[in-house]
Amino acid sequence: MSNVDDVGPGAAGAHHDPDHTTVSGSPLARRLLIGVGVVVTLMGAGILSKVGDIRLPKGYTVIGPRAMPTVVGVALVGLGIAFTIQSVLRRDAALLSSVTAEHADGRRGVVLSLVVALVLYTRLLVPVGYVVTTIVFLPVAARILGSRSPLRDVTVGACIAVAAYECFTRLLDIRLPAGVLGDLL
Amino acid sequence: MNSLSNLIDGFGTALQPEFLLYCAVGVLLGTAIGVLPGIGPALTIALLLPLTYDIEPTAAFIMFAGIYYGAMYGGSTSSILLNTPGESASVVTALEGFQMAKRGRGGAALATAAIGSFVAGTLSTILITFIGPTAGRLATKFQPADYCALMVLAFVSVAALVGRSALRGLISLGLGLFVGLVGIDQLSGSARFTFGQANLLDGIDVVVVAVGLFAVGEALHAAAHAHSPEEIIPVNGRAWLTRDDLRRSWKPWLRGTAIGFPMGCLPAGGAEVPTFLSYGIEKQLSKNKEEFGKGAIEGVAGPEAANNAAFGGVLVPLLTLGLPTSATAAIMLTAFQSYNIQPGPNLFDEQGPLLWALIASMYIGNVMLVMLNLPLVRVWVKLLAIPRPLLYACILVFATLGVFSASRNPNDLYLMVGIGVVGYGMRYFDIPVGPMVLGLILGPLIEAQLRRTLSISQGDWSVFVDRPLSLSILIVALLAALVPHVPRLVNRLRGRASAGRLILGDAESD
Repeated sequence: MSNVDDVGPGAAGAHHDPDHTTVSGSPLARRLLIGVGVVVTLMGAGILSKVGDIRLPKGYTVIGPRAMPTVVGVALVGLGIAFTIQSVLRRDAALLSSVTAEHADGRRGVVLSLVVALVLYTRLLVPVGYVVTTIVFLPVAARILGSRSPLRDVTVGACIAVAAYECFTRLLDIRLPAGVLGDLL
Repeated sequence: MNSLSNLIDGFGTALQPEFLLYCAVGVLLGTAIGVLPGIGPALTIALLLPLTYDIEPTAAFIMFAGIYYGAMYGGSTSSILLNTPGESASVVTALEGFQMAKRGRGGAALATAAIGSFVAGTLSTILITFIGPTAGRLATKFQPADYCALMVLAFVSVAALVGRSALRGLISLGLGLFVGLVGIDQLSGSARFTFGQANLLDGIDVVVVAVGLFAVGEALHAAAHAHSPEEIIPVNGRAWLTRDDLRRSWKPWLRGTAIGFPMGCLPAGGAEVPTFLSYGIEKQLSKNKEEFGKGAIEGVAGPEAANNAAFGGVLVPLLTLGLPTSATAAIMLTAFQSYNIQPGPNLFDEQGPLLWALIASMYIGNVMLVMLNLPLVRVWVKLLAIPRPLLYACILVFATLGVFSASRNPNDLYLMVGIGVVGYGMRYFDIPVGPMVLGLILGPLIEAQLRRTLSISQGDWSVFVDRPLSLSILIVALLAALVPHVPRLVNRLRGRASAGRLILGDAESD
């Protein structure tokens, strides 16, 4: 059996035992998987802890409003514990291998930048307006995703923003925020 | 005979210029999203839902169905020419199709995929025409206990048969069930998991969840991986079949249809499972086994027929039982409900004109698709040249537009981004996202049916085993849970090294 510590963090591969029952991969990937199991367990526990807050109706009901949340909470706790044990024992060779590779390849800074850009887009959509935010967001998102043609991206962004605004507002009667261009549009 | 006269009436409606236009828009859009990686029919229908509230339901469903089966057609193009499946049901097509393209036989691969899709699509529509109303009549015999058992079967089979791990499938399903609990309980009026937020009282909209998981999650996952420009293999000559190609293709088309339609009817996640089964069967039956892995045409013909036939199969439980068996079907169920139409046993009686127009439009749509796909293959190939960064940036813009136009509430956009981050995390840890959408849709349904069942039985749980139908369905659910472990058990009994779990498909955006 391969030693877990033989494979350094970020290694894009996992070593399988001949009997495929256990595997050693990146220790970080294993820790991440254990973390997922713990999060799912805690989520289930959180649901169970909130079940008592659900108001019961007056009178008798066979299946009250607390029943289904209890089932889901218990199920998530059970699944989370099973996933944690599986990850601690390194039983899922393919998953450990895939998470190791994902971690090695993944550009987490890019993902974070895109999430921040999306949140800003969401935040500014109403006050600044759909057209302006979209003209800015599309080339920024494309740039974060790896585009190196800003002129093309701005042109596409402008075309989509204006076409979508006009189409939604005039044809579909769905008013998109005009924002700073309120007097113009 | 009644079906035939109803179908003729349906053609009378579907052939009106307005509905022909919606059908054409649907199949064109479906083909385009099928060709493009990162966008699936579930996402497209979810995005279009808010835009179609003012459209007549017949037109909307003709368009939605066109998107669904159009995506099945289009998915093969990127699988064959780019080795990148446009949607999850075309994963298998890439195995042989891309090898054929590399050997200069891309035209034949595209032709067998398109003609096979047409054959399977038409045959499965014929089957719906005659089976649909009968299945609807049979479904009237279903009692709430049987519905509960059926949903248990759906949960078990989606989690157990689809994806690489039953545990991860169940986690995804559990997350979906939890999201489905948020909001006011329909029976008691009690608020559940709203955390004091008034805008959560109505629950979390399926559009927000689907768009977050499929669009934002996929875009974030794409952002995490640097894309080098992909080589698109050019199509030499016409996309057509030689006499030998036709001889080798027609039986796989029929076998693919025979596998795809019934498998689509089963609650096992849509079109992925039948395509994998079809590929395995063609490999076993082929006289040219040595060609498999190097570009065997049977390996394209069978799975492509299976994924199109599965669409027809998916419609049977959706329309007659109100039971979605794939993520896209779940979104379509929401679409029906948004028009105050409840799919179920009485749908053929209550909404006959709509359903027959929809079925007639599927015959027309299949003809449109084969006419669009073969001569215009080079046009579709051009879509593959859209740079990935620009494509994903556009997907995010349209996702935001779709969610905002549905509710005009910026809070839903934050929710979409949050669910997108969850979707990215699920992809990172190889947790399938399809079961989460099914859990979200089926959770409230199973709760309502369970309440009805136990109200009727006055709290007696033995009703599930006393009724032969619900007992049979529960036994099938148990078998579905055990089937993936059969190879391992058999090998253990034979004293061989432990084999892996049986995996039939990967459920993503279908």
